[in-house]
Amino acid sequence: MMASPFPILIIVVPLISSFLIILLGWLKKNLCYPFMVAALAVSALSSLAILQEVIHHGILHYHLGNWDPPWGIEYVIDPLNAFVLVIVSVISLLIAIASKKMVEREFPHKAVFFYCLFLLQVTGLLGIVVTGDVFNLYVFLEIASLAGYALIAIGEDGAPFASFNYMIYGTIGACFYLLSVGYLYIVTGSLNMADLSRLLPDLYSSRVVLMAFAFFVVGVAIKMALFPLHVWLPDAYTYAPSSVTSLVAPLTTKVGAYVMIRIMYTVFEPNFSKVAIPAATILSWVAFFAILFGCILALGQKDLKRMLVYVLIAEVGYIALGVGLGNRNGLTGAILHIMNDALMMACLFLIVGAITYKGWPRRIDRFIGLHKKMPVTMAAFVISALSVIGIPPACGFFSKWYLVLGAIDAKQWLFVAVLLISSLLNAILFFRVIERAYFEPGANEHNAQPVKNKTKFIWDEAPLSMLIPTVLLAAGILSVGLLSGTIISEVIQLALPANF
Amino acid sequence: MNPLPHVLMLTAIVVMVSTFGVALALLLMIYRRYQTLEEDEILALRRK
Repeated sequence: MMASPFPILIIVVPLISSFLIILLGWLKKNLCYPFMVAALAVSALSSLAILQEVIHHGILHYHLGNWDPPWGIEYVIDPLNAFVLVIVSVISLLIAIASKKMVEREFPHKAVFFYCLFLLQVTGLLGIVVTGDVFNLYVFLEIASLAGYALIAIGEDGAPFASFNYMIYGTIGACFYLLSVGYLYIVTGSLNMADLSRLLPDLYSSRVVLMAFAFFVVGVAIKMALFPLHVWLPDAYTYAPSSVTSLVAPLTTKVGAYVMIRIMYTVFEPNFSKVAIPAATILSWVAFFAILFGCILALGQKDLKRMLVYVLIAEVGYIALGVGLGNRNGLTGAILHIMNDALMMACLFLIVGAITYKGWPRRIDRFIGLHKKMPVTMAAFVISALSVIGIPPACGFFSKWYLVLGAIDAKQWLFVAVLLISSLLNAILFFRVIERAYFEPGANEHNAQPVKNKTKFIWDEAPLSMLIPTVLLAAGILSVGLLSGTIISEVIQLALPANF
Repeated sequence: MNPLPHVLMLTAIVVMVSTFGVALALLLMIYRRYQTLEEDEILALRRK
């Protein structure tokens, strides 16, 4: 029987086009952008097709070069992969559409190379999700990271320095991951995830396996910027160009979270990660501090982008908390939050991009009267802010709801408390911005005569190519929120690893 | 002989070499911008 070609198409199309785009750049520069969008549209459509197929026909396998699984590389797509694939490919498509104007404004002469690196980054992220082989995952991890270092270094003044910092941390993380793969290979002689999960249970008492697990968790925690290991993230993501931040900030950390779920609960058994060693408990306590510190540090920031970066660290904490709780509700919340947070962060960072594009400073106290100039963008900002805080019709509420349920099931009242406190802190954070943008009278309106044209809008919106993805993401936040019942019962219930 | 470890080592080496390449490129960028590679001096320059 002919295997479905989609799993490989998802990877190969952006990979090949990233190299073709440089050739195309020599011939005709303005074809690069449509070419990139087309390539990403192909992978977005194939990932949607895959999701459809996986849900109706079960797990998809694709053997590269027709080598049988334990020896050759195998791409395995189950509902969890397919779900994360759809998120990554659709969001990167939207960001790609929006990136054109930002690139033209910030670094026009580097546009061709930017598109090439952008595609490589997306290839890496998609590859991490699609593969069923732990070593192949390492290679894709490095493809994504290397493209990320280069992309971040394009940015403003501090960017190369921040990017170098990130590279040191990222390489340490990747080396830890590689060590853990090596250890697993020593004891099992296999690199295939399904094969490993079959072979490992007999070896759980072995010290080598314990070391592998420890190296693995620390390595991936560095990559997903879990709290004490997040130090590289704030600088790197603040100084990166806005188009880059809006791609890497929502997706890289989420893909890291996916890897965490995959290895802790599929390659290793849930019983091992939760009971045999207290890894899950430790993870949830680390996440507890991540949420708290992320929100508190965000309170101290005056720069909107930097504030959002710290919010992102707290959001990573939510996902890790759900993974660490390790019960059905907690993990549902974590998987749902992967999607919700990717949507919210993509929308928020795109808005920051739009605000900087229009020449506004990123300092929050300078946003006075912003809603009159950019009503649509600010409306999207309010929607995503409400979602981060967790107010019902927006999607953030539902994942938090499941996380709280998970914490209650685990009888961890402190975790319930921290989830609620972080909602309050987020409310303070975002209403500070919303108040400045909507309600504070402008400095000149104080001195001038009583204001007559108070309701007058001076339309000064971001260009359509940025506005449409932003609006789509905001609409996505609302509609995912409204449809979250269906999404959970149709997709996430199937995506939960076995034994849950 | 099992060829797989050799292949893994080679791939890992290639990945590390390319990481090294990107790192050198970044250092070059930093040097061009600040005319130094001392971390303290760069931080002092950035603070101004």
